[in-house]
Amino acid sequence: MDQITTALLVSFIGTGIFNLIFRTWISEKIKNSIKSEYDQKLETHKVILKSQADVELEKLRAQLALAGAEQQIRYTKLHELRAEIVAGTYERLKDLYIKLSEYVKIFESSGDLPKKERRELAAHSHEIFSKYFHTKLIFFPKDTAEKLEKINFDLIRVFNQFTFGVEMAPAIGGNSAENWMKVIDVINGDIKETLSDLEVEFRSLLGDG
Amino acid sequence: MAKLNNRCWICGSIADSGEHIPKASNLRDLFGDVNQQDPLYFNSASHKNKLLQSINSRLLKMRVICASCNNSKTQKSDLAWDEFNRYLNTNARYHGLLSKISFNRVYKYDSRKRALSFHLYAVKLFGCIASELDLNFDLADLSNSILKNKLNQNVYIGVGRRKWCSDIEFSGPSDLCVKKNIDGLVVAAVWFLVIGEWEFQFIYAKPGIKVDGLIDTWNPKSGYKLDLKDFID
Repeated sequence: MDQITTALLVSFIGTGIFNLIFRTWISEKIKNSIKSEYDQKLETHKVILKSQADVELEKLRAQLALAGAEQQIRYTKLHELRAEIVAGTYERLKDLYIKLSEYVKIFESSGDLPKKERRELAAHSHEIFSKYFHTKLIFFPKDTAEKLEKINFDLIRVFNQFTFGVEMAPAIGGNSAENWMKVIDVINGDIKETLSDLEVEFRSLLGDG
Repeated sequence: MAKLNNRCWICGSIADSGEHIPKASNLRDLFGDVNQQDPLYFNSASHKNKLLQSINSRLLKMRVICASCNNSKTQKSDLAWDEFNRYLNTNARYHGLLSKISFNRVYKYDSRKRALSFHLYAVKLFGCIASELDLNFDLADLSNSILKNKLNQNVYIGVGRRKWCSDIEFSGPSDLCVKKNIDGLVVAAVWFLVIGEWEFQFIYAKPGIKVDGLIDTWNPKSGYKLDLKDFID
């Protein structure tokens, strides 16, 4: 800090301690000649002190510019990392949503995988999403992080409702049709809406609008 | 010159003693006896050929130190300075401008301790001048060095043969060139002192402050040899 303040202000003062002692009476000319010699030496030092202070100031300016650039790089890198995480989260969330929709869909075609396999795929997809986003929550704004937590919870709820309330209904005596409709409502309602919200926020985090 | 107070800058007691610049012993060595028949002439901004009938003239003293500090606390420094000057004068003809002076040769015993004392004489001079001129120096740091008998890393001494006005015998200090930081604290200062054919350069530079000439000026931290300087003309 001392160096910084020093470089910021340089001032020079010639103070009057100049005096000379001679054996003999001397002329003003000699005295002035000696004074001039001293002044010249001090002037040299003055110029050097000043120029070196200027160099220091320039160095500090350069250091500050460098620090600014480093800061920019730091922010740029943070942004890049965040963008990567947003993309990664979205990719896994979308995959989970698709796998879960596949698992709970009402109309099945002949080429579809068996429900058991689709359940396993949805469960696996959820595991991947959950592991990923829970370790990356710090990179999201609080609101977005809360929405991610909510959608994760909703997706688990839907998955469980379908597994226990629809797939296992015949065994446990529930109304599978009613439960199934509820699951479809949630998937196409709340979850879809939250997903749309998150897409908007993700785009915003990536710098779009 | 006006002073802020009449306190000793080293210990804070009443400043009842005077510090000569140049040192009285230097003037005696250079000019011999000074009396009514054989006076000296003092010249400054306010005095022209002022007759000095004694070396004890108040014109040659700065009253910024107490007797105890001037006599006992800094006596070793005064003696080391005298001895160094005697060595210069007696061995002058052997020293080329680029040669080194080894403190082992200047001081035959306790050379390191006495070289430190020599250095502390410069510290004392800086403190006296700063007080005399009311400059915002870090006096606590300077006095601490003297009271604890330890080197001050900011004070440097340069020595060289005076090549200018060499046909005129005289002695005296130059003005002081100082550099202050934004708070007004002196962070660098340079002045010269001529004693006969020798010229001394005193530099004060806070850490991080670059002052040209520091390379061949001496501080105990740089060893125990002193380069004779070829001062910038």
